[in-house]
Amino acid sequence: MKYYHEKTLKGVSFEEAIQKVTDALKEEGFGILTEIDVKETLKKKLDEDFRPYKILGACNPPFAHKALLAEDKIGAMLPCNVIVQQVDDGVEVAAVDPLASMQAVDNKDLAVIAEEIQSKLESVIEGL
Amino acid sequence: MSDKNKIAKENYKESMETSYCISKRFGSMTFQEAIDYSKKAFENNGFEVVMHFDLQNHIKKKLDEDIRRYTLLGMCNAALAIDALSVENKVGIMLPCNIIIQETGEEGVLEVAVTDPLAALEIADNGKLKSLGKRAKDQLQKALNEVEHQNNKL
Repeated sequence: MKYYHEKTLKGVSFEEAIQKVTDALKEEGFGILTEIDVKETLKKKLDEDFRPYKILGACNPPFAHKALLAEDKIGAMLPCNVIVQQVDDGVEVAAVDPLASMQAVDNKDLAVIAEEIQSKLESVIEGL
Repeated sequence: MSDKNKIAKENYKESMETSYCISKRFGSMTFQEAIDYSKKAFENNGFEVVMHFDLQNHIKKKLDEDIRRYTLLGMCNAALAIDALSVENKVGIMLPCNIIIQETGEEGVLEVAVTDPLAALEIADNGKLKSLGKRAKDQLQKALNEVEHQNNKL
């Protein structure tokens, strides 16, 4: 099952792609709470060279609040991750599809919320 | 805390049988101790804290709503992560593995829950990833079991 929406941006640098997606997420009410630099972590921990790869943790507080009230352990799937990585033909940006990731959770109230978040994240990616 | 901020599913049995998490409840530690002991136990098992997110504080700050104490720690085992990335380049979407430390409806009882990586990775439908998920789950389960031992040592 596909668990993300993705787009490859051409003609932009890795840092520009991060800025673009950060701005687009903000428009839809998502703030970036966490940023994990995978390349740096793997270098530091394993001395392995990896392509530029960052995990941005995005959170839309009203939706996070609603999801939490519906399902106490939904924190397992928060924040919503958006990954940015250097690929051969550009910079790929992919956002989690919350409907897919929340599939393991049998909760109808949550599914309604996940659907709303999905459409917001999808429009972020499409608009890049 | 008002009823409108009451969190669903805090029934003990339901909570322990959540399909996408493995959980334990503790009645003998403070919230800060639960964070410290969890960090220690997971670090002893090869995981590193790469994210710390105080959801209670964030919800208060952004929405002025009061919820119970709720903190997320993102744990990463670099060796497992690089193997996972090499078989599935978008697996970062499911990383890191979260630990949830939260108060429960019962006074003085805290819950530490860890994302079940097998459940999370199942949607990727990738056999190699599944076997890595199994290894990660074994290590996370072992670490979760050691959270209480950290408490006993002190």
